[in-house]
Amino acid sequence: VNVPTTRTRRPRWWLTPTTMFVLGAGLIVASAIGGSYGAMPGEIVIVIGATVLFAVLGRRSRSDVGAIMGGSPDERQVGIELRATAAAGIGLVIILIIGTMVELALGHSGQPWVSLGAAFGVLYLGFIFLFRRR
Amino acid sequence: MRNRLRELRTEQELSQAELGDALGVSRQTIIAIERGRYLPSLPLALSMARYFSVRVEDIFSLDHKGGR
Repeated sequence: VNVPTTRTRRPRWWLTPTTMFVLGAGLIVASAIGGSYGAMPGEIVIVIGATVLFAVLGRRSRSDVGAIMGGSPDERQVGIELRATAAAGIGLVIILIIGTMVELALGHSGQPWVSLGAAFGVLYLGFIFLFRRR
Repeated sequence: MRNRLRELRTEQELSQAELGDALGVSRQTIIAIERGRYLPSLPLALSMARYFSVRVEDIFSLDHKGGR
């Protein structure tokens, strides 16, 4: 019996590790431009390690983690991914609030925590307005 | 919410992986639905009904209390 699939995307196991590698390479280049040559060997090891880790996870597409990392999650795995993203966002906001408090308590301006928190708030409201139309 | 997915699947002598492949979802998702840990979307529920040639309400039903 042929029934419609609920998979949202074709398997693209290489997408996440490639993104990790490109972003990591960008950070390494930024370190080099900034003259932080001492940290570069460690950064290269971390970038290559993370790329390999995500490539291995992504190819194990039969597992939940593999499907999510590999870019071919089904609807339940998409839900897991969305909840994980939301939870990580909440964690990040808590860190931003604590960072702001610490900076203010030390007599500083609260930057860059205040600006990051404001950016989060604007983006959050913007996406609520955007998604309520869909 | 209760469902008869396991019953329908075993009647057809299908494994969870085979049913998942047929419906385009993972084996873990079939397991989660059978155990009542995940409520499928309406498109997936309709696909299941079509696959087993039954109505959606023949697979899924509300608990007596009327809740989820």
